[in-house]
Amino acid sequence: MNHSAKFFYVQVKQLNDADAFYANCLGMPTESIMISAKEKGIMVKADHEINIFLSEQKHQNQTNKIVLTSDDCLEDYCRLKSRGVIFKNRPAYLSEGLSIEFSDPYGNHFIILEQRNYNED
Amino acid sequence: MRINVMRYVKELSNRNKIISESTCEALYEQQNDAYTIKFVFNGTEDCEINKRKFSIYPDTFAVVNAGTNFCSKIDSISPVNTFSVSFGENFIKDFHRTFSSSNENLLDGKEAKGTPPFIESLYPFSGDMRFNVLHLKSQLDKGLKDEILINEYLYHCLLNYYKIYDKEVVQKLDKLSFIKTKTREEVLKRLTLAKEYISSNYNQNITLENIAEQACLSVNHLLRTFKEAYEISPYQFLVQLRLNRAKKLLQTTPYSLNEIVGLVGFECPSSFIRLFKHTFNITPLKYRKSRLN
Repeated sequence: MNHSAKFFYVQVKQLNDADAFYANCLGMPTESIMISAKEKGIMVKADHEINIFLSEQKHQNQTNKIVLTSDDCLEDYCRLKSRGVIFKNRPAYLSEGLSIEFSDPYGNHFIILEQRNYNED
Repeated sequence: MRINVMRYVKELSNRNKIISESTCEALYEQQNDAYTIKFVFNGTEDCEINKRKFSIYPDTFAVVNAGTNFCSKIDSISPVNTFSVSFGENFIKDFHRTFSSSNENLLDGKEAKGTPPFIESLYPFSGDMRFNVLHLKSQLDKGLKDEILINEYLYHCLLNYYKIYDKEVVQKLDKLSFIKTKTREEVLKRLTLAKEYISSNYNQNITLENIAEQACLSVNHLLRTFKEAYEISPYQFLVQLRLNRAKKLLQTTPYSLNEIVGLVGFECPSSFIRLFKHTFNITPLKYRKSRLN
């Protein structure tokens, strides 16, 4: 497990709608913050290691590809599906483990990866 | 007779069924009513299918077809944890149809067969199958009731099995040099018996003649076809199995090295240590120490 904190900076079209999606649909705790003196933002606690900073304005360090880790990808898949998240396909096997993919309403691409060590005894 | 330590049965509305049991002593004799995959998490379950005897260890799983007469026996000092997954007829047919039509058959316009091609045997319990089944078991042990999630695990269990089946059966059939498909299938069935026999009697003093007799093949035929299919000799397969099971015992038990050497069927500790080091690049005791750390 990666114990170092990770941050993703993500642009969204509308903070209020984004808050509803991240909090209600993805079930992630959100918190209003100030990105700068004049700019409001939202901090999403994706898990105990990953925070996502949402803002309406474009910044250089933003990304539209967010990789989240999971202990049990199938459990997350079913939980999020029941909350209305639309996945691009069914959970798929990669050389690193099991993954699922979806997008937020603004086209940001999410990958949930359950890393599996296939060489472990 | 049955002495149960812990047992639960989870039957879903689509007739998929999961039985988890932890027991020191059990004897079952029944006609298997659904396609079933049987796992053992610790210890051994001795089974008999159509007069074929084999043992399920934690590094293998067994597949049993619907309608097969199946006997199993557990007789152990410490509890043996077994986990059995049975699939409802419609669930497995739907899965098979989806799986077949998502592959080349769709392009070829072929109809998927109504029933899946299970060869009743032992298969390696590793990789994604192991991860998914361990997740399922852990969730059920905690009281999971969500049928959608349980069925998702079972869907993936079948998906993983089909992948293993392709590797262990379909690809091995292609490696055999016989021209006729029926001959290849028959030889692979017999090689499967040989592997089952080795896996179930790995700790005994077994000879090539014993293995050949169990597989209904001559010794020469066994040696040639086994190597063709699996790229190693039956003896190399036996040694690998002994080393891997010794590795597991080093990891999970406090048994002494000499005890483990005897338990996995090696006669001499020094040859075991040499082979272990040659295979895993570490001595058995250093390996145990590294796992403790």
